[in-house]
Amino acid sequence: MSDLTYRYALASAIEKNKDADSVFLSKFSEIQKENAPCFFWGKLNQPFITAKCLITLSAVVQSSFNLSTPILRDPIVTTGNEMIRFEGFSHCAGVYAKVDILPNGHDGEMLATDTTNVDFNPPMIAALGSFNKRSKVTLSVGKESVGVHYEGKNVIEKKVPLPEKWIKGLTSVQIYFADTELRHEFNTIQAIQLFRSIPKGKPKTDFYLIKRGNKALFSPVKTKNAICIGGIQRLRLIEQLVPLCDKMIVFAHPDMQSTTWQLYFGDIRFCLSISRENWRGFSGEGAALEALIEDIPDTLISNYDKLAYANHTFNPTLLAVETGLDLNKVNNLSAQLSAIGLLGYDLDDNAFFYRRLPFGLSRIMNLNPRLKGVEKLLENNKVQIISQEDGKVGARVEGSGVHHTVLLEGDKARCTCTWFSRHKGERGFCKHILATKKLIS
Amino acid sequence: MNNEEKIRYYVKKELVKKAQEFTDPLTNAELKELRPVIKELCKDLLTYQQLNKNTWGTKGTSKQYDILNHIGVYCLTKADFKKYCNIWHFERDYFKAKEIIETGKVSWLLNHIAKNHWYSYLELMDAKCSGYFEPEREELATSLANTISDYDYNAKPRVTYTPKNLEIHPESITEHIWYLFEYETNINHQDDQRYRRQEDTFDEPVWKYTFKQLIEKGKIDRIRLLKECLLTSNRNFNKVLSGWFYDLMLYLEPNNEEFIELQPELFNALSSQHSKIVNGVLKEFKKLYAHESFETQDFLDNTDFLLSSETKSIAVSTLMIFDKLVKKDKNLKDVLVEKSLMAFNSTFKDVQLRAAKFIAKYGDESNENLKDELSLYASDLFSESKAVLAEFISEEDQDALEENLYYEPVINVAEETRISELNDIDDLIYLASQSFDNNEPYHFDLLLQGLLDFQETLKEEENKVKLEPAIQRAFNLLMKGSNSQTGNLDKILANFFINYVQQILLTDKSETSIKFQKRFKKEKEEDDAYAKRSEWYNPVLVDLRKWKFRSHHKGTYHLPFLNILIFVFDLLREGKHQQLLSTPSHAPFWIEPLVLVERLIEYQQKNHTIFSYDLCLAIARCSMNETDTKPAYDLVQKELKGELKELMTYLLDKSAKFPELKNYEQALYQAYFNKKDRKEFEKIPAIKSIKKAGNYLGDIDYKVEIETYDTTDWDYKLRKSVPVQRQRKNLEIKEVELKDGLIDKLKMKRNRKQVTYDFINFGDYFYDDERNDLPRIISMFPNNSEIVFSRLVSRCFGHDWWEVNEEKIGNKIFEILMENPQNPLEAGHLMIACSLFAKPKSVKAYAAEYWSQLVSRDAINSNLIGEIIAKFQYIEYYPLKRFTDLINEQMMNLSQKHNTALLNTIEAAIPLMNNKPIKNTKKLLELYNELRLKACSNSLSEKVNLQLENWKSSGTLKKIIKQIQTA
Repeated sequence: MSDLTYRYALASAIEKNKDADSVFLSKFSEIQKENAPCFFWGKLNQPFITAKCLITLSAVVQSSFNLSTPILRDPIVTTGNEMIRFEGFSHCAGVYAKVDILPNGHDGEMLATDTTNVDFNPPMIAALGSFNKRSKVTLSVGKESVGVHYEGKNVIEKKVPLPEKWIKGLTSVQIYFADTELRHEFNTIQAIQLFRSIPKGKPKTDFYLIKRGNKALFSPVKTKNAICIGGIQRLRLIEQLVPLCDKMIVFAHPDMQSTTWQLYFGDIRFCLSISRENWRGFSGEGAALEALIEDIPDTLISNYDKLAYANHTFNPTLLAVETGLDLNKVNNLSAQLSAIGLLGYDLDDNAFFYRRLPFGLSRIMNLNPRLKGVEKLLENNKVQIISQEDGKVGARVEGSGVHHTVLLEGDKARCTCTWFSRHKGERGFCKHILATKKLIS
Repeated sequence: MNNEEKIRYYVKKELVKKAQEFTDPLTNAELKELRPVIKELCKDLLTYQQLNKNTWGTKGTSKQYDILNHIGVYCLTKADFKKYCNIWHFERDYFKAKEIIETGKVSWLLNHIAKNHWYSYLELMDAKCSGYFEPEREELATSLANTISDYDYNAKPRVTYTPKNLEIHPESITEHIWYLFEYETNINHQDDQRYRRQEDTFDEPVWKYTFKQLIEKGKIDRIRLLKECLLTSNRNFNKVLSGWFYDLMLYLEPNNEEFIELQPELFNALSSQHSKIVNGVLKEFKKLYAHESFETQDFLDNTDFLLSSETKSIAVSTLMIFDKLVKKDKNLKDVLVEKSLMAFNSTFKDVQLRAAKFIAKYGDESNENLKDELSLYASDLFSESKAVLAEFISEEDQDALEENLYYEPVINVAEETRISELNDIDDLIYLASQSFDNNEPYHFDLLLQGLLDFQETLKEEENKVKLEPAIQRAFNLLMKGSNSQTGNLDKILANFFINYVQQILLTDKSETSIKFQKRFKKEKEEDDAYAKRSEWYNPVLVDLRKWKFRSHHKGTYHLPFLNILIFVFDLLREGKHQQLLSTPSHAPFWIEPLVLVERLIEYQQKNHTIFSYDLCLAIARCSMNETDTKPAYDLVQKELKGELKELMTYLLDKSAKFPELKNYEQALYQAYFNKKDRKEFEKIPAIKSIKKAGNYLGDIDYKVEIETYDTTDWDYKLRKSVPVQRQRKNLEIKEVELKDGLIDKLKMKRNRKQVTYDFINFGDYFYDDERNDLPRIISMFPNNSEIVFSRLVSRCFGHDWWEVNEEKIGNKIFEILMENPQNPLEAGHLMIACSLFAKPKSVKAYAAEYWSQLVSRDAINSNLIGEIIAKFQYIEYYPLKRFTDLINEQMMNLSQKHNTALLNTIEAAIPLMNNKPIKNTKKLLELYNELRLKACSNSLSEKVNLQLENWKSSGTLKKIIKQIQTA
């Protein structure tokens, strides 16, 4: 997978002054909404916790749990609606992390609402590590940079290429969030005790979050209602935050395709979501595929920026009314928009929020080989509808050397291919089902 | 000679130098003209051929390649050069590349090496100064780490210390040296190398020494260096490198004032994932705490994680600093007491005890908040800690442990586990396409029933086509081999399916049939060709009755399934429809008794022939829960007749007497083993006469002993092998011989008195296929799988050679048992006891979880587990630590009932263990003491006391034995 390479008009430069250092970093975005020089400037109310969360976020973005070599990657920042959200993925795209600084978590001004990429480089992380509970810290989120101003020093980050799998992951993970359910809530002691049961090393088998009596623990034993966690060692990323939290809530996808661990520290939240297995990134999952096969009206996309305010809760009805869309025609608007990087998901609010990733739609579409396969099947007329009655659609789709039978019945879909047999739709539908759906839509 | 002839001549004669001089005077146009001949020569010399009898290689020599490489770079395009020559040569030899670039004749080379190179630091800097490319920071760091040592393998010493390399470029010290602290390099290995070169007189660790020298010369800032060393602790470096940087800091011997200046970085280092660094920092804090500038509050901000650390020394050191801090400043008393509560999250007794003593000493007994906080930890406290904190914990909290753990009642037959029937042909098509994937154990049986039910509908042309994916999958499984999920049973199912399609379904002249028969012919030819090539290969596209597994599969467990396949195949050939008796009605392998009785009534009404293996399997899979058997029993009395009625009455009624049957003897025996009625065993001659019937009821003959064996050793003085005697720990299980001619299925006769147990033979080792078959093997007798348990002990669990497959088998068997628990007999107890000592933690954890469930259900004999453990530990067959760790982590304090069960287990084990204590006996006794204190047990059995007296002679055990005896 090739990286998305930023092309800067000018080289970044640092100008040193007596009072403060000023930094200019070149900018690059595929979608430029505003040209505000700075999004946020203000004081952090919980600098120690914020710093610990950002350090943990940096640990996530510079980690890798498959065979790829980890490289320090950029998180993205969204400011708006009095909130600042940092999001990032591990290099392997199997771990997603988000830090939310809620309205009372800062005392500053939102100068613009938008999303940008920023880099956390080693000096920046080191500077974060030196904050304590009594530190006075001002955070500035600029269009092109994030800087932490601390006792007269100024540490500024620089940008690096962002891998494409981030974009895919950032779209898929939101759709998984929308399906997740709250499963457990733990106080600090319970959370610490739970994390103590994480096995040492890198277990190859799945572990399960089970409750024995009043206690929760991780066990290799599969029991009824247990939450399944593959690659459990990834949870160690937040191990050091756990003793500091007020509570921890665990969310799980109904098919156990992902688990999400949200820590609460007053007005700061840290969210860690891990994919089903070590070697599986969110980027490789097919959650967004179904949403992407339906065409999204161009008017909606073009009007989106006028109506979207970063971090505000997404209201599909309002958007449809404003853009003159028939809501019935766009059944899963939220999923569609998040699949193309226009929405994020807030687990506490249980709602999507506006957040436009700075990448184009065509790029996202090109990233999904299964969608390309769908297009190819349709282009070559390999999908044949053989029956369509009472909401039941039967199709014959040409596969490799055989004809597969696809049956759509309401929300259910079946196919005779190996992919369907193996995953039962848990990792998104196969290309045969998607092609049939697209053909009849 | 023209240019082309010259090249051919130089290559033929291997004249490297001449060839190098040859290109200098040529113009670009002349060089371009030489492309065809270079390509031709390259192709020819790269030809792979047999060089002599045992060697294969390329035609050309290394000198000839050198010539072509040298001329080729001037003549060929980049793409052609990459294709025919060694482009990596220039990626590694910087000065060679530079020489060519300087000629100005090869335009692409500069761009190429800018992106692809493996140059040394000095070469990179030369490239930078020459304006070729700008090296990345990370590669500067990586190469710089190697730059102060020069290697020459022909010189003595081979490695020379060359710090002067750092002074060639000023930015090396002003800028690049700091990159070493930002990126992971092998700088630590450079220091290690001093050990490997004995002839080198320079004995200092080179990099540490260099840094010290640079500081002394005033070339780098000492404080910055110390800070950077500490900051590396959180940069995701590997453990060794992080430790090396910490050692570098210590090597520079910072004084207390410097450490005070470094406090922010030291606090930052407390978050390191490496315990060496955290321990090191805490060690410094033990010295610094008294300093007036020590930031106590900053330290306390970081102690929550330290106290709950999984590394004992970290938590202990933190508590030691607490002790010192409170002595220094009494005002910190309350905050330190509150902070120290975090230590109760630790499972280390010493940590808890230290924290308890701290709280008892400095805590305020009247502080209700403190008491409330402590009550949250009450159930996790060790008795000793609890005793120390008696004033702070109420009596109510003292007994915080629940009486028993709740496990849901075992329900085999429930609405949510009911297997959906195949309603139409589409259901069958989808099932068929995944039947060979082993997604569910019951898919095997469901497919057979589906083919019987829809055999007529399948003959319609439009439905035949729909079977294409299933046919392809069956072919793939047979011809291309298993995947990680499939087992041996899937192969015989695939063979059955192909036979059915080839001989019964697609035999007409339709397009689908012709296409299939063509493919079958092609695959069959390939299959036969394989068989001809290898004597180990048994053809897979053969008649079902001729099926043979590949040589490594020596088991016979597939035979009942194979017989049923043959039975169904015959029905399909004859076009008969019949409901199979053994098709599970509930996942994963259960048959609801009522459903079985209804099927039997239908058989009686329609006068169907009962196939004995089908009936045996059906009986074996029948759920024996009383709630399930009651309605079925009533229906039996009402509707069934004759011997079937007697058989089912015996099966469903616990108190029914063993009947005498003429027709269904096999099924009757199966019913007897289902009921696991060990008491009646001696009273029933028919059962007693069955060879090895006792083994089906869990009897297992085994011994654990130290065995002396003869072997040979190489004697270096005599330079020959000499015989020696050695000892090894051995587990010997007298395995039940079940052969009796059963291995050959053709010898099986329908009137033989055989039950499904008779087929449980495995090869010497378990393979993936057997593991994947395990749920279906258990499905042959889910009510009583003792024979499988004994086989698993002898093949996997008993011995200590755990490999990946054994671990997966261990996990799999317990996964099945967790959902479908059985009351274990002796073999079951042995399997559980051995698994509690398993090397893989997952198997051990599964065994402990299963043990917990059985304890809750009163289904396990703790004394028997203890006796088995003692038998193994008499010779320390497994490390005792595995068991004591497991008790600590997973088995203790689950409930009062579980603690009692553990106490009984240990109490039963101690008297039977060796009089000479083995390693970790102390830990076992500490746990025993803890369990006794928790249970408030004062009595000590005579046998246990006698053993304790024996062990008293061991100095390390004296104290704990005294505690036990005086408790």
